Amino acid sequence: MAGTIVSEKAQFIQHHLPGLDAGEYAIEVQHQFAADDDEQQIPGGVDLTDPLLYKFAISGPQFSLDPTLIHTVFPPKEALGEFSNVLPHVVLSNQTLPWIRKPITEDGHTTLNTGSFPDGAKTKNYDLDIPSWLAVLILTEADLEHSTALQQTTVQNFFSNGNDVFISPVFGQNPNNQPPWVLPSANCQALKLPLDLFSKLAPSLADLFMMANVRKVEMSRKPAQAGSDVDELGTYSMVLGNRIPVSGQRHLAVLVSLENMGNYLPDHNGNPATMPAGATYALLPVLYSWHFTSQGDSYQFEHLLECLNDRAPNGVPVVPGPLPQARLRLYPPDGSTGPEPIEQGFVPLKHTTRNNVTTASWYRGPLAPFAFDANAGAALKVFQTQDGAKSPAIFDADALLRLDPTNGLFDLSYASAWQLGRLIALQDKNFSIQLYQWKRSQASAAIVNMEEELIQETFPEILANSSSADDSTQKMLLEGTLGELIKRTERFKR
Amino acid sequence: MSKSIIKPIFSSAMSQVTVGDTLSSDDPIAQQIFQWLGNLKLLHNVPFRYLVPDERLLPPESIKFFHLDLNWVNALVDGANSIGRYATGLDTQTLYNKVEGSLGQGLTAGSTLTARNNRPNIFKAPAPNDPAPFEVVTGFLLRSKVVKGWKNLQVSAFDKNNYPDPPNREGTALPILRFEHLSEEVLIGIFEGEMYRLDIHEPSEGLHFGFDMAQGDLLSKNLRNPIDGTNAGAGLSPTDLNNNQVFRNGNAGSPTTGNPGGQVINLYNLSVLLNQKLNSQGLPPGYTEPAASVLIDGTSKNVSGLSDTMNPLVSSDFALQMIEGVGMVSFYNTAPGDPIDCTKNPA
Repeated sequence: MAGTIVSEKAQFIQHHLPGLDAGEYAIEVQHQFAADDDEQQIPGGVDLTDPLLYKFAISGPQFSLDPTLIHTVFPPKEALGEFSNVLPHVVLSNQTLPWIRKPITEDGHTTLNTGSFPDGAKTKNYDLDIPSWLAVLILTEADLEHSTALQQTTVQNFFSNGNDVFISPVFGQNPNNQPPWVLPSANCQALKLPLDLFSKLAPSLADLFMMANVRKVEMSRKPAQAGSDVDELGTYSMVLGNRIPVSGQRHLAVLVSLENMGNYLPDHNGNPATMPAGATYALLPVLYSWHFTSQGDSYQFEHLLECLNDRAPNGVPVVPGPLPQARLRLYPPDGSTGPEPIEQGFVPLKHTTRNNVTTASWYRGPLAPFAFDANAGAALKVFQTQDGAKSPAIFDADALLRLDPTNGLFDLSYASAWQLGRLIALQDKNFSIQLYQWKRSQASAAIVNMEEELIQETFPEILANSSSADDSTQKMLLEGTLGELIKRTERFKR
Repeated sequence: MSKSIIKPIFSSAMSQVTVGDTLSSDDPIAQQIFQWLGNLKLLHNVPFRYLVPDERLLPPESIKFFHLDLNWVNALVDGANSIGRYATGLDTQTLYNKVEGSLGQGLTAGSTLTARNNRPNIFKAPAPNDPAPFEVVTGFLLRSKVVKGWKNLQVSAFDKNNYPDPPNREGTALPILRFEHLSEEVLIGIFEGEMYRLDIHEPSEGLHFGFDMAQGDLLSKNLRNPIDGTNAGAGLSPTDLNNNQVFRNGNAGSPTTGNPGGQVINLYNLSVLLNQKLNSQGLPPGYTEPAASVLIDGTSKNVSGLSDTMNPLVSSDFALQMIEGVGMVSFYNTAPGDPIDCTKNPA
């Protein structure tokens, strides 16, 4: 692989609209007969069938959300850090989720409108935004004192609160008019806010136009489990919050549904809308929630990385510079260089030998601290055998024990690697049996091959000699062939 | 006479004991074995204690760079391959040993090929299909809170002659052989080639949105040129933000004061303001229709109080402006020994 050209780009897309919004639909089918023929006047046509009405619904998350749809949140869950200039957000793995429902109560469906603007002599068109029904609200501890914390409830209970609780007119004005696919006993979370706090925190309808977008990112430079299956380009939708966290406070962030709430949201300067008479609280369905704490201590990504390996933890800001102790080896605490094996990344480990003597031996894992010459170590060249003639010489791990003659200590590194490989293979029964049988079958194939060739090449000669030569010559030829065959096969079986 | 017939026949038969065919064939068993050994080659299933035998090698909050000891890996793979290996002495001419030796070669090539293909396969990218033995394999171990907090952080490794630097910022990254969490706080990255520079980025889908910090805890916002992403100069000052009711409820835009419901942003006003600023500098996107063109169902919903102003930026343009640059830290392997340089890139 030639490697990947690094042109890391993220694409922002205004929206990814679903083919059909979530909701109830009906198709009416009727077969009519009509004719334009002047002689056969059939005014208005003839209905051949009664109209048939097919109803179907596009369901979709409404009061709760499968948590696996939450790809990531920022600030990270339970994070401690300096977030006092960020707008928290939620990244969703479903691309159309923010647009499957609408924050406005209008009947019918939001159509995509385009705007245009002059660009030189030409006119350019662009799509206008579609508002999102999801929003991220941020609550501080002070806010939570004025409101009830998150409540666990059911869809049914959500709709049966007192008159002082205002809920979104999701199902028209009659909350009992629930469509059949809504399961009243389904669990959901809800947040109860005093109306004035709701009006302070909620985004305006105009804000909702720009609070969601779609993002395409390259995936191939991210961690991935072996054997997993990831698209090279990841597409996510994203919902943005509208509040910056307060320094020094723990925050609750909630992803709420504002479906059909458009008329009750504040205007774009934050002036409250007229709320229903008698209501003192607003109850919102919560689809996801998490906590984080904003504080002065920098938890920022770059800062953490720059402070690695005990570098300048007090320097604010950390000045980029040499990163100490960046190799995989033991560093003597006094900063001196250790003995040579330590410098080479070896670690002394307790070693109980076969005759029950406890000693210390050197071990180094596969992660060496220095540039490595793959051809070093003559004893190990067997593994890089290029010509088929060279046989594998390792039959047990002891063959890879190495002795340092200067101090009489063993180096166990390669011996333990070999033994470990063998143990890992044996531990996986499927693999070990498979490998063994595959080897046997390859060896048998090689023998059959050899036999066939031997017979093909010797028998014609025997047959060709049959007329001229006497019986004893033939017998000798035949015996020679079979004898060699037996010899070789026995050698193999040994 | 008999011997003269038999000898050459035997040697020609023996020369056919190779597994060249097995490599190219679709033998599913062989493919599974290659797959298993290919994973082992990249140290899958190797207990962590064998990788890092002493905790002091990788203390909390540390990053360590390594060269993969290919002899160690070959010993490991040969150990696994030793199953079903009889001790037949050192006579390399016996049929059995020839078969074993030639199978070993085939397994080495096949498993190296799958080790190279594994990661491209995860992302359905074109696989290199290269069975050549590994020459230089390097990598890093990172143990940090960063790993836990930014699960999808991204890395690029470069060799000395090909790394991205201003002005063109283009380079060819070394192929990633393995990049995986070993635990919640430990990440391993293995690359083919000699790593000279390692860039660790914040995950690009976790790019965050926000403001810049002006002096004295006040917020400001720099503009980004929509064409090339560079800083577009004069942005929104704290005064701009205040004068245009970007902060709700008369909040002064300081992150330190917290009153209930405070510090809420009127995103619409902010978006209009950003569009005005970009337009005044002659930068795209360039749509300047009045705000009333926010349409729902073909009806214009007038967003009151914003006569004489412009359209807000659409959500994608708005997101581009509000993005705070992705954090990235580069580590340079300046010398064969210690230390390694670390710089915050002016990205």
